[in-house]
This record gives sequence, C-alpha cells and structure tokens, in this order.
Amino acid sequence: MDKKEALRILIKHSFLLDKQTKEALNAKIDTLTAADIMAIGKFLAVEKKQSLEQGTKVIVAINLLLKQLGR
Amino acid sequence: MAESSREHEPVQSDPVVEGNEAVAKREMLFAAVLNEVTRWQEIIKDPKVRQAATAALRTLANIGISFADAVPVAGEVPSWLADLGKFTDRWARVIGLSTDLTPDVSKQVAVGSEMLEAYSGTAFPSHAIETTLQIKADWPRLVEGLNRFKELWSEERADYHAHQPEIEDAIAEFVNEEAT
Repeated sequence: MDKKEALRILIKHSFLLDKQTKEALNAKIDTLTAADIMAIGKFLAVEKKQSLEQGTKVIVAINLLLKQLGR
Repeated sequence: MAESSREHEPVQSDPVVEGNEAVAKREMLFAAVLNEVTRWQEIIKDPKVRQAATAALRTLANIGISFADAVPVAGEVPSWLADLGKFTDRWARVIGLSTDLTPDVSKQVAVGSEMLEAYSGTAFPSHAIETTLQIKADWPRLVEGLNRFKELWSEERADYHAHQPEIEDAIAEFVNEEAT
C-alpha cells in the first residue's frame, strides 16, 4: 500500500471530517506533495488511534452508568 | 577497582531526537483535542442526547434547590424562584429559553407543595416533591439519551471492525510504532 492509497483509506474512514471535506481532500490528493501527504496522513492516523481508544473507554463508562441506572 | 568517572556522566541527549519527539507529542495532543471537540459537538446535536443532557442538568439543579429548601426561611428563595420559573416559562420560550426546571410537574402541584412549608416553619423541603416527580419523568429520557450516546460512539468502532485490516495498514503507513 502506498501513502496516497493509505491516505484515501484514512479519509474514507474518518469520523472527524464531514462529507464535503472528504470530497475536497480526495479531489486534491493527486496534487499534494509528499510532505503534505505525510502531514495529513499522520494527523488522521493519530486521530483515528486516539478516537478508537477514547471510544472504548467512553462505552465502558456508559455501560457502567446504565447498569447503575438499572437498565 | 576505581570506578570509571564516565559511569557518572549524564547521558548526552540528542537534540534532534528530542525535537522530533516533542513535535510528535504536540501532533498527538492536537489530534486528540480536535477529535474530542468535534466529536462532542456532533454528539450534542443529536436530539435524544440533548434531551438527556438537559434532563441531567435539570436534575442537578433541582437536587441543589431541594437541599437548600431544607434551610428555614432563606432556603425558600430558590424554591420560590423555581416555582416562579414555571410561570415565566411561556415568555422565556419566545426567545428560545426555558425557565421551568420541572416541566413534567403541574403548577398546582408545585405551588400546592409550598403549603406544607407553613406546617413546618418553612423547614420542610417542599421542592423535593417536585424534584422526585421530575426525576421520575426524566429517568427514561436519561437512559434513552445514554443509549443513543453509546450508539454514536459505537459507529466508528463498527466501521473499524468491518474494515480493520485496511485501516490498520493505512495507519501503519504513517505511524511508526517503534519510533514512539
């Protein structure tokens, strides 16, 4: 997998970016420099990791709260 | 045997490596903060989550007023203000606000419960009656909102599990685990 393809995948599965932003980014990928691809890709990759970790903790906390509320 | 003086010399740090680590940490922090802010902004827009959040804030306010109401005389002020809020609510709604902390409790019950104060020298926390009735109405809203909140957080995890190999490969292209 090359970095452009990896970036496309991260954009597609990003829950941070809205649909318009995703489309705009996808349209520009071929014109981005290697440094830009690296910067954006790294940001989205780190954000995705953080989001998944955070999501796990949030869901555990909510399940605990629901259990205490008796539901 | 004499100890080598070099064993006690501080380790020379590489400024380039330190600089890269600092940049990586800042990037992670920025990504984490942006993720949190954006995520919460989207989640609070959901009507069920918003309703549950309002119910939770209302519950906290009512519990606070109920405790204050147990204080004779001075404690009546927040209780009466909460009851007054039921009458001003219709005007507040014109500008998109609400002043009614117990929307599921009728004005008759709210004002009527204040009569009990007379028998206790204003020590009886009458607002606790309205608080209890309102919590009973808000309970299912809180549960519904929490379930919806969980759903919204789970969407990303569901997408990740459905496409785990390609997402992991894409992340690995940009994030070097060994370097961190």
